[in-house]
Amino acid sequence: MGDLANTVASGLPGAGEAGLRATLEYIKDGIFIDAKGVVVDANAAACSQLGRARTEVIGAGVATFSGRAGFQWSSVVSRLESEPHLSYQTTHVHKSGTRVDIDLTLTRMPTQGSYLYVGIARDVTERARVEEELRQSEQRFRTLTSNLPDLVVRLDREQRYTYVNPVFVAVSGIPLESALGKTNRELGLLGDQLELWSAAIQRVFDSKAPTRLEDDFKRSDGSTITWDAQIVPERAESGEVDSVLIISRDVTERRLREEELHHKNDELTRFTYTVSHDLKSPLVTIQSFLGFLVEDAQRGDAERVARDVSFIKTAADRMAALLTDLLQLSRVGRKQSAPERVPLSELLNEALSMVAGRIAQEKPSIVLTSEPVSLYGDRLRLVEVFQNLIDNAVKFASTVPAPRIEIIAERVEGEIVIRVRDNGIGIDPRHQHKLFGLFEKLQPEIEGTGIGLALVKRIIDVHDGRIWIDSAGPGQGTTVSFTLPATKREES
Amino acid sequence: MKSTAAPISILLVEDDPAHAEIVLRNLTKLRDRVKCIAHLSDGQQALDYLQREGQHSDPESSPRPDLVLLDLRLPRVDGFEVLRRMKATEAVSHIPVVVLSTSEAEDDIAAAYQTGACSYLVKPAEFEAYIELIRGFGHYWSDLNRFHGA
Repeated sequence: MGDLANTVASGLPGAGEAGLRATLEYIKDGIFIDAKGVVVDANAAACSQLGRARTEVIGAGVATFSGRAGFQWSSVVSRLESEPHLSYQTTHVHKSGTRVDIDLTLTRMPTQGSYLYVGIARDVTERARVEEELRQSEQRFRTLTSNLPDLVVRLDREQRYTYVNPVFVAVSGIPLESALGKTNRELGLLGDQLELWSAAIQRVFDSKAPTRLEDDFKRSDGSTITWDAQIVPERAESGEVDSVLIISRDVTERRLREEELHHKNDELTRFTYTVSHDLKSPLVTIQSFLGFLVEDAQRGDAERVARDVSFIKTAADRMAALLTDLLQLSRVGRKQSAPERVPLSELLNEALSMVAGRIAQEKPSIVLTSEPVSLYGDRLRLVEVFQNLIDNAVKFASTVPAPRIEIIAERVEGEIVIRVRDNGIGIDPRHQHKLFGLFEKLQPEIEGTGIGLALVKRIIDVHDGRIWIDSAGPGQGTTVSFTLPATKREES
Repeated sequence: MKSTAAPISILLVEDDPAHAEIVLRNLTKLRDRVKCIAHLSDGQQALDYLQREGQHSDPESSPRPDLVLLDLRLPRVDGFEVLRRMKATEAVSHIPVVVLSTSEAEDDIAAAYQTGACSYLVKPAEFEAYIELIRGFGHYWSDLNRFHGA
């Protein structure tokens, strides 16, 4: 005993050995004095780190406590010949067998022709544990964000990417290593969009409160993707926000559905309005002529009475026809029979036989230009589509000297496109958008309630197809085209 | 009060023959105040008449009305378009247009006023109400006309 205090005290004039020993005992770092690879002295902290009594520590070989396999005292000695001190992380072994992580600093001091070696061992087990926990937590974060369907990125205070998950890489087409350390501007975000995002991110840093942003981006293939982004502050221990996490969900599909729903709602509003309007019109007639009828009957004007009754009858018939059509339209939405593949030629033959009367009367030439195709859907409904379109075409063409109706079917990008074309009266482009509306009749002299195209559109809608009208204008003929996703369904 | 001034002349634009007859019969009850000079059943005919084109090119047979009573849902050219083109044609842009429609839709009413309609009347389903509406309409416009003419 006494080496430690003596040695150190010799360089500190006026400090007694006892005082110095007491001081060393209070130091939280373990202090070992070694000579020739054997511990010659150790303070209380050193003994505590090893879980041993001082008597067990002093006199023991340094290698006994080292957690490192192949520890060589001689290498320490030789390194300290050329370096003033050594510092490294290592482990000591506690008496219980557990390892104690330490930061070890070694120096040597000359003494009586030889050297004493002083080791200062700081227990960093807690720090190592915290670091390990942090590493694991970071690992869990990455495992989570790598497997999320959402896009997750982290940005530092300079708005540089410090993390991007695989969804970011997949959607943006920017590789991980190109994204890290970059700002949005450096990654090519431009103009208003750059402003929008920079401002929103900065707001989160400043306010320390999360914010939300919905925005459209162009995919690498040119299509649009809508992100619903949550920008969340991440606080450091100091309470300052040193990074933000942006978690973005692809809401493209939801947005489309919402728009579709909105569109359907508008359609329903228009429908309700049209129905109430169109049913009200004959009602006005009936009510008024009932009034006139009473007056005319009181006057005994038989001629006028007959005229009143005739107006009432026409209006009542019109109401009945509208109601029948409405019922028919409401039934289209309900699946009546199982969908099946039907050759186009069969559908056309059935439809033509149903409008045979009008065809015999107007005698149009009817031409079919088509490769052999089959349509997939509700057979009766598809016949109704052709029946209505051919019937319309014959009516529209009845005004020209050589009425001609052409039916063209072709495959275009996995869809079947069918066109029914006539050389008749045509439609002013300004009115074409109205044609699929309920009870829309642009030509009052042509018979019918005006439900035909509304019905056709509804059937095509139910079959997931599209329908549109082309006409260069009055006198230029009309083409009604529709698609059915036939190929895809045939294969499935 | 017995009218001393000439009755105001009306152009009726209405495609539904029954609805036209209802208006015309009700107007005959006001014949000392209101006179229907023409009834046309589509928007294009109405424009031809007002602009004296086509079969209405003779000014003698197409005198300008004091007022147009206009339905909105019309074949060929609808009521809104008739209004728009009237307001854009100097010779007839001053003629007041009263819309008479079954539609109670706010959009239609707002659009009619925006396009230049002076008034918007909804066709009532009840007989008595219809008589009352046409009576009120006839009195208002004939009084207004007399006042302006005085």
